[in-house]
Amino acid sequence: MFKRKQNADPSVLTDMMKKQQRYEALVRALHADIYRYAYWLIGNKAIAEDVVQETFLRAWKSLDSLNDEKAAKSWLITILRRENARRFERKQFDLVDIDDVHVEDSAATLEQTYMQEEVQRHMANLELEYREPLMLQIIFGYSGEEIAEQLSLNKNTVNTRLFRARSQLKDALEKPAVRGQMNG
Amino acid sequence: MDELEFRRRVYANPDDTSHDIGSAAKSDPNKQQFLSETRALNEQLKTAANIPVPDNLADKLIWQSALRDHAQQKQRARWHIAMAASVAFAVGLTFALWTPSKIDLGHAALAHMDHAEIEMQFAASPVSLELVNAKLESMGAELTQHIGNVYVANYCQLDNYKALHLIVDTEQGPVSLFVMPHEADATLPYRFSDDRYVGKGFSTQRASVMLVGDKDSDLHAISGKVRESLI
Repeated sequence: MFKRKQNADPSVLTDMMKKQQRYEALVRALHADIYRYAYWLIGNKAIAEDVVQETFLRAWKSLDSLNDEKAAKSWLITILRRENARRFERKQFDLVDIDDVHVEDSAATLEQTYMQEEVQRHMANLELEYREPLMLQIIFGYSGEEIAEQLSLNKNTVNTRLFRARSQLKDALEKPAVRGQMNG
Repeated sequence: MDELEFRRRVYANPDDTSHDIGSAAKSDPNKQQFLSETRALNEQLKTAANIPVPDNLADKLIWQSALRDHAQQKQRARWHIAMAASVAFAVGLTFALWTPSKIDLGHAALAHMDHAEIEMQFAASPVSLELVNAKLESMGAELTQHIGNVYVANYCQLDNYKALHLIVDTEQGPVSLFVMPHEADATLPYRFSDDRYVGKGFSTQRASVMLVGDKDSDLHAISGKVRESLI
């Protein structure tokens, strides 16, 4: 019994180190996409960052429940969505205006930047039910099946929503009377 | 593949590289154009979605887990310290409450020894075992056998306890035996002394006992007898 106890300590330490390494790898690989997804879900950079922190804190606490690294992405997205939902349970938030996001790309011309902001504005204005599957596809490269699984939706529903999301965006980007000219 | 189905599938996933999408596009310039346009739009969306991530977000996320672990460990340590402090406090309090009364009961016995000397002067003949036991009865105790000549058997008050004070003649000289009810156990001193007397306390089956003898006397023999005889 004593022997086992003596052996236990180093292995606990190793477990802790392994957990830390695993967590770090997870953060490095996925934090950017998770943050972007949070932003497009929430529409506010500061809140998105808070929710991402909460998400990774939860992930850290329950890292042992993640058995397969391949499932990490969808696991984190699930936690993030839950954390975001909790935000509304805790407190009824005022509707948050989507921030103006400036893509810091010095090489981009003014026109390109302007165009990009247009696209962002329209993406942000999509209904959540369209925006969310679209972002899963764009940010994470999810297939229709994967999105359906992640959002607990029927695959046909997902495809319909993706279809509508793009068609709405296309319409919105083509329509604007003044700015639309630039699409020419 | 008809036009509508084609558009649905391309809109649902512009990056769909399925063979049937490809061949449908090849065979129809309109479809090809739609596919190209939609893919271009999709690239635009991807670029637009690719918003900048806050500096050091990854480090922050890694730090927060480390900090949390540290905080938990600290909390655990704090908990232990709190426990240790509580125990230390309880021990200290016990000593503070206990020790003085221990001293008091021993002191009370020692103080009573002054009376004992006076009482001894009036003691003419030994008190019978029957009389001693009659008095011990009120303490719930009993002497089963002779422990030596008892010259004095008087009730007295030691600290908060009623005691029967016996003065027993021994080889070491007169020894005072204070018999008290068991309630006195909690504050019974194990050994006590002053410049004239030494004393020891112990507990028997039904009573608490203190023996007090002259400074140089050995209480070993009489305490053995008392242990054997007093129940």
